Amino acid sequence: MIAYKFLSAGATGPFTGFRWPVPALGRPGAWVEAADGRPDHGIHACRLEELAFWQDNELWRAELADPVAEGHRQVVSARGRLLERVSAWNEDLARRFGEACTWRARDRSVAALLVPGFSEESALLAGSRSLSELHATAKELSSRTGLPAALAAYLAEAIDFLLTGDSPCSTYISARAAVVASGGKESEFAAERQGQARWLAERLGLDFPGAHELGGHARP
Amino acid sequence: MIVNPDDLSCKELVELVTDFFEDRLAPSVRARFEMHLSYCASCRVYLAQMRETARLAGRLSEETLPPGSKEDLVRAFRGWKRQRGGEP
Repeated sequence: MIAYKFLSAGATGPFTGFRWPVPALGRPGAWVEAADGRPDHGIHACRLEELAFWQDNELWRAELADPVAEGHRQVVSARGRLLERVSAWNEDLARRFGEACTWRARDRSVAALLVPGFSEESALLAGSRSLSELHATAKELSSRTGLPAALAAYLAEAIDFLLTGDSPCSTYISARAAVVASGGKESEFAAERQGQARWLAERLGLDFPGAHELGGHARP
Repeated sequence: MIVNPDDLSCKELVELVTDFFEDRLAPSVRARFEMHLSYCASCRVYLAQMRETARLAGRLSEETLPPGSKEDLVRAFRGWKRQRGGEP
């Protein structure tokens, strides 16, 4: 099975510190086997739809040997190897990804606030044209009460993390904002994450299976 | 922020760190543990600090203690116990 694997800098497993053998001279990296043969101790990777859950410095296309087991938002096999690095995933794209997710959360907040009649707050968020403007507006609104404050607090926090360069945390917060915007539907979190993954797959030039589009916002 | 009910909180992660290092987490819990780390920079720093502490502490033995350190430690523990109202 072809899957995707996020690694820390230097093709290093983010949780184990394992240095993956990388492809060289046009050939895949060496196969890596689970230490004790137990599939649940094995090689973890994810499908395109799950990309947003596992962001890290490097993205690799990987091959997992059969049988491949289902994990929690990941797939697991006893053997795996790296095929090639997805070079389009880099710091710049990670930042643009975080920004796109924030704008998507803003758009959802604008729509969500209109329904119960928070038209002033909705218009203030809708009128923000730059990230810094949105940040200031969200901070101001977060001191109010009720739904406007809750949604604005998510937006402000998502931008806080973006400004520190922490896109993974920012995109997580943006996906959590979707739950609040939907009135508490937890399924919106996974749906938003999938939408984020679709955005990513499109920018990475990867063929994403059918899923909903991540926002129609003009920004990046 | 309210986290996804499927995810671990930072507090839960801290409680599971020892089991993570000792590979005693059930696969589903381990996946949630790692997913939390994928978006929580603070917990990644915490995990790295714990890993480094375990690595450094693992090198220590009684023989490596400088002279007088053992007595200092025993004194400190006794003082701590007294403060808590336990046996001296």
